[in-house]
Parts: sequence; C-alpha cells; structure tokens
Amino acid sequence: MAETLYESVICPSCGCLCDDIDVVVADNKVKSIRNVCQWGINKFFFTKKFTSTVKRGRVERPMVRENNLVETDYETAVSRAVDILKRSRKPLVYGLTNSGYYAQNVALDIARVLKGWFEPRKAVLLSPYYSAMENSGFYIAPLDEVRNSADVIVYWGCNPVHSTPKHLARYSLYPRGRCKERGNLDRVVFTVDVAENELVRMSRKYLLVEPGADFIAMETMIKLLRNEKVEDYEGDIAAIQDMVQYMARSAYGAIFFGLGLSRNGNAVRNVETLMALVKELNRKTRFVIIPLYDDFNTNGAMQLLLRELGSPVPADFSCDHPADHGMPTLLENLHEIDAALVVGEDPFWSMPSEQSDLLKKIPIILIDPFWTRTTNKCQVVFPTAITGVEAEGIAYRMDGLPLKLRKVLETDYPSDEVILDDIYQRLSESF
Amino acid sequence: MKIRIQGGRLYDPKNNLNGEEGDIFIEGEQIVDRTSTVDRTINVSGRAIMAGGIDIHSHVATYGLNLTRGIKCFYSPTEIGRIYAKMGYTHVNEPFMTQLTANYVHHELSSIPILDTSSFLVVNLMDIEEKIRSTKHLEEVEKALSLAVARAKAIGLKIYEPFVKYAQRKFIMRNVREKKVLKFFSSISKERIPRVIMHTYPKLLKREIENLGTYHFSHVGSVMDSEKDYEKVLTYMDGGASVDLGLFDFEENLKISTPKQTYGEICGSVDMGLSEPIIFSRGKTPEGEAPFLALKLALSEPLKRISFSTDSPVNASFQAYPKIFSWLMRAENRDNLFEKELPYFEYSLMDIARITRQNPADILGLDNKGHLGVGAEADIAIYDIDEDTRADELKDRFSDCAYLIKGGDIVIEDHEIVNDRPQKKTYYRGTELTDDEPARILTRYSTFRFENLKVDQVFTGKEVKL
Repeated sequence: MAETLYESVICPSCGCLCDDIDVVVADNKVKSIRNVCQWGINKFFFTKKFTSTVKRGRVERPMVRENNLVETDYETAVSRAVDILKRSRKPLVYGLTNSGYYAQNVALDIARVLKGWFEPRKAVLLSPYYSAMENSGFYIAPLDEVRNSADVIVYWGCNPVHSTPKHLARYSLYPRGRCKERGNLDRVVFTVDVAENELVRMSRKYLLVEPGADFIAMETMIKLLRNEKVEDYEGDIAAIQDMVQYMARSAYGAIFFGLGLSRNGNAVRNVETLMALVKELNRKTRFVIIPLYDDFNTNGAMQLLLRELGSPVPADFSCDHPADHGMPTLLENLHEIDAALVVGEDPFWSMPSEQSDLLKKIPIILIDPFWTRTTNKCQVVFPTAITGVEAEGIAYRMDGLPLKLRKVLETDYPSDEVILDDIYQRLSESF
Repeated sequence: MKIRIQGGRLYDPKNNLNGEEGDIFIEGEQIVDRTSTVDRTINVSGRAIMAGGIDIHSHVATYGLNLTRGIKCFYSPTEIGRIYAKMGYTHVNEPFMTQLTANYVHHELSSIPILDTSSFLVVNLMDIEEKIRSTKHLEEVEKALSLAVARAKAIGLKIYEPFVKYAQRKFIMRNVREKKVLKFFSSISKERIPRVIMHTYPKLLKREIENLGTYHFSHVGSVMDSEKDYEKVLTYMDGGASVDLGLFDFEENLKISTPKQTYGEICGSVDMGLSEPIIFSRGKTPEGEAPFLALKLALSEPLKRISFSTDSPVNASFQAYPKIFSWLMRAENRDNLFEKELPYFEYSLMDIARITRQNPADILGLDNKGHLGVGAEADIAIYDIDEDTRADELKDRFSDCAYLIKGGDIVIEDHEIVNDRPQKKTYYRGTELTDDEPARILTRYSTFRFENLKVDQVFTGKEVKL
C-alpha cells in the first residue's frame, strides 16, 4: 500500500500551531505521525482528547429534526438551516475557534446580514485583553523572539502542559534561542495559579492565589515595582517579592496567561491589572504578554473582529454600532436570542448550565465533525471536514502570525467554510 | 471591456505628456494604442488624467497595526482601500515586513480592497552577522537575500538597522558596526538586488556611504534636524541615491518608531528581533527643523530622484496627501506653515505625477505602472483639476477623483465608488535561482520550519512576479 509522507504540516490542535509535524498517510488514513503532542495525536487520529484510545463518533450525514434527528441530504439541511435563521429575530453565531479564518469571516457576514450576534468562544477572556490595550498598550512579539531572548517566563492562570503541550518545548522554557544558547538553563519560570500543577517542578517560585483574585497579587507587584508599601497583602509576599525582583532585573520577559484569570467573573479586572503590570514592567525592562489559546484559531477570530469592526468585543449587529455595548461577552444575555448557529463548539459541555438551559429552548444549527453533547439538542446538524486535517484554511498562532493549514486526508465532507458560505449565499438572496 | 477615455489632458512624465489633450484606449487590463471597437466611452474633456497613484511607503499592514484598530487609532482595510481610491491611488507598498511576519503582512494587504500591493522585506542582520563583516561572503549573502525576497513575496530588500547590536551585553563580540555593514551593502550586485532600501534614521546622515546609486533612503524628511543634514541628503542624491520625502502635516498621528524617536502617548510595542522594539505611539509632531527641511527638500530639488511619502501614518496619515499636494502646488497654501521662508517653487500637475507615479514605479521596478503608455496597466485616475484650479480647491479635488480605473475595471464613476472589488494583485520580485537552500542561513533561529516561511498564494491572492 502506497504511503505518502507530508512534512512540516501545521498541527491544528491548539494555539501553538506547531509546524514541524510529519504525517505518513496510507489508504487515506494517518498511519504514523512525528513530533506531535497528545492533543495533536487526537486531532489526526480522531480520538478523544483525554482518552486517546477511544475514537470519536463522526457525524456521517446531515441531519434535521423531525421528532428525532433524521438523516437527510445536504440541500435539505441547508434549506432548513436557512429557514430557521430567516425566521429568527436575533440569532447567535457562536464558536468558530476551531475553524479557518475565512470560515470565521463568512460567519461574521451571516451575523451581519441577520442582524444577530457574533461571538467567538473564549471571548470572555480575550475581549478584555484586547480592550485593556486602550489604557495599558500592547506588548507583543512573535514567539520566535521569546525563544531567542526571554530569560523570565511567567505562566499566569494557565497550564501549558494541558492546554498547549508543546509550548514549553518549542517556544518558552526549553528551546535554545539566539541569546539563550543553553535553553532552560538560561531561563527562569514563575507560575501563578489557584492550585499546584505540573509546573511546580519547573518553576523557581509557584505563587498560589485565591480563585479570581489574581488582581490582588498583580496590584501588589505593581506597588513593589513602584517602590510603594505593600503591608496589606495577605498571601505569599516573599514569593511575590522574588518574582518582582527577577522580572525587573531580567533583560527580557514574557507573560503567558490563560482562562484561570476569568474565574469568578473577574476576567476584566484581572486582565486589566495584568496589562497594567506589564506596562509597569516595560518602564524598567522589556516584557511581552501573550494569551495562551487552547483552540487553534481563537486568535484568528479576534484578529478578524479587530480588522473588520475595529473592536475586540463580540459583535451585536442588531445595533447601529455592533461593538458599542462594550461587554466582553454577550452570553450573559442569552435569553435575548431566538436561534443559534454553532460552529465547532459544544456549548452543552462548555457553558454553565444556566446558559445552556436557555439554549435548549431555541433551535440550534450545529456544524461539527463529531457527535457532542450538543448534537442531540439541535434542529439541524452538518457533518464537516476537519480543518487542518481534511480541509485547508488559515489559522493565527497565539502571537498573531497566520499560517496555512494543509489537508492530509481526502474526505467527501464539505468544510465548514463551504457550509457557511452556502448558508450565507442563500440568506443574501433573501435579504 | 474596451474603454475609450476621450478628451482629457494627459500628465505622464515618462512619455513627456504635460497636459496635452488625447484619448486613451483600454483593452482588458492594459492601455493599448487603439481598439477597433469600443464598449464604453468616457468623456472627460478638460479633466486631468494621470496613471494610478503609487504609494511607495505607507504602513498599512505592519505587524501590530491591527491591534491599534482596537484603540481607534487606524483605519479598517475597507476604509484604507476606499480612501486611497478616492485620492486616485491604485497601489500601496508596505515598508516593514520581516520573514516571520510575511504571511501576516500579505494577509493584511490582501484584505485591502481595490489596491494592488507590494512590500519591502526587512532582514535581521543578526542572522548573517558573521557573513557581512567583509565582502568575502558577498555572493553567498546576495543569493540568500534575493531568495529571501522572492520567498517572502517582497518587492525589495530593506535594511532597517545597518548594524548588528545585541541588547544583552554578553553578546557584544557579535556586534557589527555600521561602517562595515554599509560597505558590504554598497558592494552588492544590482542584478540580484536592484536597490537597497534604507530606513533613514538620524545617525545615518552622519555616515559616508559609497556607491550611493545602490540605495534608496526612506522618509528622509523625518530625520533632517539641521541644514547640515539637509545638505547631506542632497549629497546622497547627487551621488545617485533616490529618496522619498517623509513630509509632515502637523496633526496628531499614529507614530511607528524606535524608542528614542517616540513622542506622545504610547499605544504599545512590538518586538521584531531587532536591537530595539518598534513603538506605536500617538501624538503631534514636536517642534523642530524636520518638517521645514522636508518641505524645503521637496521644493528645491530636481524631482528626478524624489518620491512622495509621509511615512504614513507617522508624519502624516495617507488621508492628508491631498492637503500636502495643495501645499506643493501653490505657495499661498503653505504661507502660514513656517516662520522661515520656503523656496518659491510650485509643483505642476506633471511634477505631482512624477513624484506620485513615475518615480515610485521606477524604484519599485514596476515597469508597467506609473505611466499612460501603450502596454501599461490600465490604472488611471481622472481629476477635476487643471493648471488653473484655484489654490483653495486643490485639496478637495485631489481627495475626490472623478474617475478611477483599476486594471481596466471602472472603480469610481462621477466621484462615486461603483465597484470596490476589482481584481487586485500582489507584486513581488522573483529570482532566477532555483535552489532555495542558500536562504536557509536567514532562518536559523526561527520557530518555523524553512518550508513554512515561504509565503503561499493563499495569503497574497493573485501574484505578479517581476
């Protein structure tokens, strides 16, 4: 059986978008794969994220709900989806962080033409990050420069071992860089989180904070950097002092943060304070800050919002100015929507029950390659090719650099971009 | 479509047309001598016809610029395309693209409607520090650089820092001084690298540079702080170098600069692996000689080697071009700008066509652009302007062209944009070299594999190889 080797494939499993994956394909199946992490294996072998021996159930044909979900042809599914969206007064277009950039772009156009909402997953954390730039500025660099120069790495509210497994090896702690020729021996890691994790052994100091109260530690650090008194801090002040000392003395530092900062609904305050800390650090040395994305194209959606609407907040096209609401997420007002188009996301797994209960009351159109908890609650389900494995696309790495995703397997499933475009074309004819 | 543009006055320095009345025939994407039949005749009697404008130096896709949109500092891609089109421009060149950010820059450029695009590749000399200390490795470096330009789909090579300077002191032995770097690039073969674009910074005007015909100096107006600097720029131009102006408009602008040149409120910084980060800030131009000397240079030199630029959006946003054209064309429009007296020289429409069309096209190597001759791209701007247009009307007339034809498609008709999705192209300089391996030395410290640093057409759209 003929084998084909695809070299330097981009891995579409997390925001690292590692480009060193070599895939051997035989009989249109991945036979072996090199340089890949656990998440990448699951992506290319279609297995479950935390139990990689178990195959994920593939949605094989489009389905529409009669009494139960019944299989149908693609055209019928598109017509049903278009009917639902046309009848909707205010639909939500949601998910899209595992889709290519152009699929995201079409989804934005659908929300625009329907005067609905457009919200990428994780907007609750990332919108505050981009919004905080207004006061604190942005401090970014390609990950290459972190690897080449950073001598202090801080992980705050995230665990790269689980969310972006090759981050430590390729971009931050271990790799040798232009000015860091000994790799991890030339670097120091600090971790801040609510509980101990795998990074304890790698970190010089591991700072524990109360869930959602990261901003207290950040404010303390800002005070220390300004040589102000910090008598009222109740946590591990010695660890904070050590961290601040190292950060201020470093030649170059990088802070990576994750969803941990959004605990207890404190995302905005935490992220704003972290950005203020980075601004303060940049008065003394060079520091960059980059969010860790565990979906591979979260950054693409944020870049799209900035490019098209000039704002990082989810778009509400029912208003004249879609970004004027200024909220990091629209999902808190989920009761206002009357239909949902969900792409590559499982809201019944990821949303809190008070939100997902509201979704049960409205028709949902789902575009997803696999069966999820959401599938059975939908009116229309489209199977789709997996972007980066079975379909091409563009994805933005966590540092904002785009890469072309290749396809290594042939499939008859349409890509999410094609499905969304078909829906958009039909909607455009009606409006 | 076959179009006849009838009765306008033609301004095209390359073909020595200085307001002569004439017809232009378009067939497909090109200007032709004559067509046997015509699908559409556009009567433009008395109006000025020029080739589409070419902006040689405008930061419209620099890495980090998208973030400034979130803080309302910059235009959306659609706005950029439409504003340029209304001003009669059909091509914009992004001056800051590195190998790492090439995909990003091209993706951003491809999202700008209407305009053809190109970009300069900024190489990090740290990657070849051991090869540029002498001319011993000249050929090897030439090959690597020309391949890097072609792989990044860039139109030219730009040196942002003509030195190697490590921020961390323990690497001081790897530093390379300006003198050596400038000597190296002065020796470079014009066949492989037709022109080296230099980022102009204050210290550069203190250096003695050989073989000046190799160089183009960007936005020289930004850094001329004294008459001595001004004289130095003239010396460079006498030696054969070309320049773009870097004129100012005295408004609050988004500035992209090194930390030392920063003023105003800082919006953020981007580390591109150079000796210093690139700072984005917002503010008004501080007082100094530079704005005066920049305009003086524009008004006192033969226009052969000068291209128009404002280092947009740094010294002036591209939206301010019509205002600056009105300053150049009528002395009364610039009377109150400075206390000191500027040379009395008023640009003709031919001069404007030269610095915004012909000269930028020559520097970018775009033989089929910037003129109205047979075989040229059918990029044509038609303005309600003649040599007698009143001084106070010039700005508005340049802001709002009557017709714009882009690649044979009518984009603006009677001052209205009627088609904002004409075909657009990315121009880049190719190479005759077939083996990419020499370029590998420039990617030693990249997180990307060598093959993934080659820009794919998915980012550029339709490509034109020069």
